[in-house]
Amino acid sequence: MNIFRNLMTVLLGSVALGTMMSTIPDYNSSFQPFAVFAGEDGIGHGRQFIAELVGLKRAAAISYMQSGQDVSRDTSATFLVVDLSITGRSESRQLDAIWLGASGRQYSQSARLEDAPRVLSSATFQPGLTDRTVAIFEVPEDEIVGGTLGLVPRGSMVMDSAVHFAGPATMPEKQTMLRLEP
Amino acid sequence: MAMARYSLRSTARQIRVRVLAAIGVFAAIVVTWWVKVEDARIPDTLPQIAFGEPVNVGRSVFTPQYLTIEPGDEQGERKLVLTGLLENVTGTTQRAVFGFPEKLPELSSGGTKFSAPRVNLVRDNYFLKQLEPRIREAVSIAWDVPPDWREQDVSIEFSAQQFKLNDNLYSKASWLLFYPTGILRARPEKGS
Repeated sequence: MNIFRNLMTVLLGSVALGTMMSTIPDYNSSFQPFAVFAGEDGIGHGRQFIAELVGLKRAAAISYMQSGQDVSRDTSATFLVVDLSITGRSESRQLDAIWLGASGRQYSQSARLEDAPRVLSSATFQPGLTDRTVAIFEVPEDEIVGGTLGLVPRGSMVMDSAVHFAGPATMPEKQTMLRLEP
Repeated sequence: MAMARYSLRSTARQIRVRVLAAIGVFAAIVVTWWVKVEDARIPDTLPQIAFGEPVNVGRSVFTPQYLTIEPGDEQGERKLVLTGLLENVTGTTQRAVFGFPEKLPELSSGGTKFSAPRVNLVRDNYFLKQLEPRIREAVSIAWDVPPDWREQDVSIEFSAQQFKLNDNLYSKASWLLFYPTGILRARPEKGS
């Protein structure tokens, strides 16, 4: 009788998992962060942070100082530089940003600029304090208009809020060389 | 009566053990058969890749362009450099361009052992950290050459990870085992 009960448990578990795999949305999609859209004032309220989209720029190349040396980085496409103002809420957090392009593809922040000053990937936001930061992406030009910026707390994406900002209606201005200052 | 009950219980136990053993044997046969099917799916002889022909490396496609011998960083050192175009064929930025754990193209020539290569962007020689969708990058894959290696034909083997749209654990897209996708045989040219 015990064996029968155990077999039934395994069988029911397998059927439940199989059902969740074959339904849409599947259980992996269901446990992704839920979207919170920023208001018309450009401010989005996440569970753990408040973010304001200050502006967007394009650049063909970016330069900055790193350990006393002048560093310059270029791209095969365009740098999309998103200026953000972020306030922590309840605890110290780091954030991740994703640019959802007009085609639906997802662009992470450029790893070539991880050591640049004020970049989001190396910033930590404290509760009650507001900091300015930049998220920099390498994207084809036609992914900018119609795209969306997504901000999520790093490492705790399950059932948390992701703040979404609508992309620009027109192409942002482009600079040949953008200088990032600390 | 007690004797009959004992005998019945013993018989039931024996049947249960035999049924479990039969299930185990059947499962072993199915697994062995499926391994054979998987093996048969991978061709014995790898497809030959020529310069200008794209080869699947999993999350991206690599098109080799030329292979040269270049001087190394130190006096007397040499390196073999395979230059080509790399394009992300997924919908997201990829840090694991050659799979995870990373499996870079494998160079073999005359029984010499080569260390793992470095993959750099051609335009500024900065190492390739990630690859964006729809942005094709020219890259160089460079192997340090041991001093005892004489110039001769080389073989470069490419691999890709198997993609599964819904895995059996989290039902999310996963990259599974590696399999070989092609081999490039060429004689390196003298570089700059």
